[in-house]
Parts: sequence; structure tokens; C-alpha cells
Amino acid sequence: MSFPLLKQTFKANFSVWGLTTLIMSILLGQLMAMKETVTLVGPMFYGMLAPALVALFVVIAGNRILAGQVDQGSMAYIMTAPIRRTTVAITQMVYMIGSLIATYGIMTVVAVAVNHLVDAGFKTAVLVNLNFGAFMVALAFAGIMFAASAIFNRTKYAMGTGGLLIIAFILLAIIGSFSNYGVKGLDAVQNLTIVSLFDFKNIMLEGSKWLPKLAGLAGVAVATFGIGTTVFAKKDLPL
Amino acid sequence: MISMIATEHLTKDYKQDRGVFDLNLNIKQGTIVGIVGKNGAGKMTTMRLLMGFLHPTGGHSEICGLDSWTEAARTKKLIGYVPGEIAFPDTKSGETFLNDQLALLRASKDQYVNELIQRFKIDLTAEIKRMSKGMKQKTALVCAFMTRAPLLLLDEPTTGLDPVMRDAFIDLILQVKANGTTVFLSSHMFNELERTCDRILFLRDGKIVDTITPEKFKEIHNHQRVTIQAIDAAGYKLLVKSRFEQVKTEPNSREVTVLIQRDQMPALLKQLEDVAISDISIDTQTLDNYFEKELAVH
Repeated sequence: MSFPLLKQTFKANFSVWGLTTLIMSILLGQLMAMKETVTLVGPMFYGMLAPALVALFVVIAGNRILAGQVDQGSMAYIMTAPIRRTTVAITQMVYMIGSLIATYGIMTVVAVAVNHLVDAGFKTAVLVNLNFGAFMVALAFAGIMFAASAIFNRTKYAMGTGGLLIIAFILLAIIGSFSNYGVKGLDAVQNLTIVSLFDFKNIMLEGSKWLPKLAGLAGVAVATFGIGTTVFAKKDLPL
Repeated sequence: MISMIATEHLTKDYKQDRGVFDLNLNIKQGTIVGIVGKNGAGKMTTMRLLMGFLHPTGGHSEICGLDSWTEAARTKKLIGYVPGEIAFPDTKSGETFLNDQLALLRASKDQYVNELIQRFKIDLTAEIKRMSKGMKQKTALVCAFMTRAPLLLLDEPTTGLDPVMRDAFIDLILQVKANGTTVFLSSHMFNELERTCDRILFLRDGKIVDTITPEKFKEIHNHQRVTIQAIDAAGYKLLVKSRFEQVKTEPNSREVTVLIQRDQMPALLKQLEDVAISDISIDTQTLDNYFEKELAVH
């Protein structure tokens, strides 16, 4: 890993990361402070808002860290330094994973703090697990965007594949969520999106089914980050 | 002398006759080699292959004995690079960019960097987004030179520079050459290469079709281009019939340009005694002229 590069990436993406994290934290705090918290925090926040909002950061930053700089040509300056391509890819991957850990770490703190302040009635373990699950969704998204960004030299292709796939997963999750409200025909839709591997209902019921499902998201993340790093090390760069 | 750049049958085939083909280079330490060619001749592809950005489809290339593809990261320690397309990272000013770059190179700003900045008269406080093309080019040059690398790969390094800065650049090239630095640069401006290069390779459709050595320089300069304008059509006819090598004929203005060796001058003047001429001008043949001629032949 290259620390100077990590620092540059951190600086370049700080505003989009900060804004996303801030909005997510405020929304979560607000929703927890309201009544009907189980519906608001569950299906609304962790089911829809959290994946959608974090996708903003993941798609924008993920696109920028590799494909964006190759497309623009500024990657030439990074590649002029004696840094291996694998190191460049791994550094950018570490940035993505690190920022998501920070985002969900902050959200966990906010959730636990608000829970105490307003007496929302959640168990701390439930809040920690919810954020861990949401983090795994974000991690899988980040992997998908990272792979697209590493494979393509043009941002339009990275956006058109990785970005589109992530949006599709979110839309399918939203459509599928209506099966909770009695539209039985939509049950199958939930099987089409990786977002449903984050079983927030089971976490809130303090069940045990949710943990193995997260392994699916971990698998997606490992595969996509792996593919991205490998491809980036071997492809032709137009710099 | 060690070979700073060595390629063997280096090929990058983009199909449809695009790319570079069967490139065999051997550039010794301390020499300056230029590569010229029209747009799309393969200059940029050659540079990218040497930088290890592209995987060759055939043959291989080495920088100081290290393979430019498999050991790309190690070769970068030896190379200062100016890319053909200048695009800076998303950062505030020239200063932050140079500092970021020094951090990546794990170097610090020293006397030499300041000297380079002064030499190119760079305003570091200028916002990157508002920099002119020339300004960006100068900043990119500082970036390449400040590495103090033993090999400089410069892809069209003078694009956008004004004549004063171009001279500053040439001075700098000659200065680093004196320190034993090897320079491989591409250009479509033949005349500026003439002042710096020990050898010029002429690239056409991805192949080296001509190499200009110092001997050939002499031979080229030993030729003169004489442009003669006849007063009337009859005179023009006589000029066109002349046995000297004609490089240009302009029936409308009744002008003929012939290429002669210096010692052929008396013979030419003798022939001109029979022609009523209104104007005559004599120029030493430049590389531009030479390549113009070559381009027409190949």
C-alpha cells in the first residue's frame, strides 16, 4: 500500500464521503427519535435509505479512484512513481473499505447515542448488528464499483456497468420490499437483489438467520475486489 | 556504455495497421534520441510501451536491463516522464500538485526543484483548473526533471510552449545531457530536435523508416534549396526543364525550388544566365524540408 496515494485519494474524496456520512447519520438519528421507530428504522432506513445513500458515495468515489483518473489521464502521474499497479489498486481498495468502516462506525455511535437519549428501546447489540449488515451491503457495492472502475478505462463504461448494477439492486430491493405489505407476487423480486442478503428483519427479531446470509455479501466483495485488482494490474493503460 | 533503452522486435498491434511494429532500439546512456512522425505514426504508443503502460503484442523492451512490462515499478525509479496528454489530478494549485508528486516519489523539495520552477517561470499559486496549456506543459516538465532520473521519456514535451520557453527547455536538455542523462523525446517539430538530438528516428505507420545520424545531418545541411522566380512563362519553362532536383514547382507564380549540393551552385548560376529571373532566394536545407521530401517519397 502507498500512504502518499492513500492521502491523495482521501483528500480528493473527502467532501463526498463527509456529506454522505453526515446525511445518513442525521437521517438515522432523526428517524430513531420519532415514534413508530421499528418501521422507520427497519424497512425505511436500513431497507432503502442506507443502501441508496451509501451508493452515492460508492459510485462517485469508486468511479473516480481508478477509471476516472485513467480516463482523465492524471493516473499517469501516479504511475510515474515507482509504485506497482497492484499496490495502486490495493491502496484504492483500502481507501474504499476504510471509509465505509468509518461511515458505519460513525452511524453505530449515532444510533447508540440517540437510542440512549430518546429511549427508543433498541438493544445496543441490535443496532450494532444492523449497522454491520448495512456495512456489508455497502462493501459489496464498493466491490462491484471497484471492479468496474478497474476494468474500464472510460468512466462512462464504469458507470454504465457497475453504477447501473448497483442502482438496479437498490430499485429491486425497493420493489421487493412491497412484499412485506402483502403484495405476495413480489416475493421473488427479493431474490434478484443482493441487498436482501442483509436480513434486517431477522436482526431486529434477534434471530440467527441473518449472519450466514451476510456471507453472500462478503463473497461478492471478495470476488469483485479480487477481479478488479487482478485486471487493473494486467490491462493496457492509455496514459 | 550501458543501454538505457533496448527493444527487440517490440510490437503493439492495434490491427488495421495501427500501432508500432518490430521496433529495434538501442539507446546508450548519455545520448539524446528523438523520434518524429506524423500524428498517429506511433510515437505515443512507443512511449507507453516503454513506460510499461501497454502490454506488447510481440517482442519486448528493457529499461536499463529491466523488462518494461514485468518490472514496470522498478523501471519507474529510473524514468522521468512527460505524458503526451497533460491532465493533472484533481488538486488545488501547481504547488499542491508538485508536493503531492514529490510525496509519491518519496522526495522533498530541494534547490534543484526551485531552480526548475524559476527556470520555467512557473506561478505555483495558479489554480490547476485555470492553467493555460503552456503552463500545464511547463509544470509537467518540472515534474519529469525533478525526479533526477537517469532517463527522461518526453512525449511531445514542447507542445504549447512559447519560443522563449522552448529555448529554456533546450538549454535544460543540453544541461542534463552533460550530466549523463539519457533523453528519448518525441516531436513533430523537426527543427527543435535538430538542436538537441544525437540521433533522430523517423517513424511512419508504426515503423522506423529512417534514422538521421550526425553524418546524415551534415549531408542534409550540405544541400541548399534555391527558389527561383522567372519573369515570364518562357523562363519558367526553361527552369522546369533544368536537370537539378526539383522539389517544388508553382506555375502560377512561375516559381521553381530546386535542391542542390553546395558545390553545384556555380553550375546552377551558369544555367540561370539564360533565364530572365525576377527573384531568387537560397536556404540551407533543414530537417523539415528533408522530411517533407521523405514523406512524399514513402
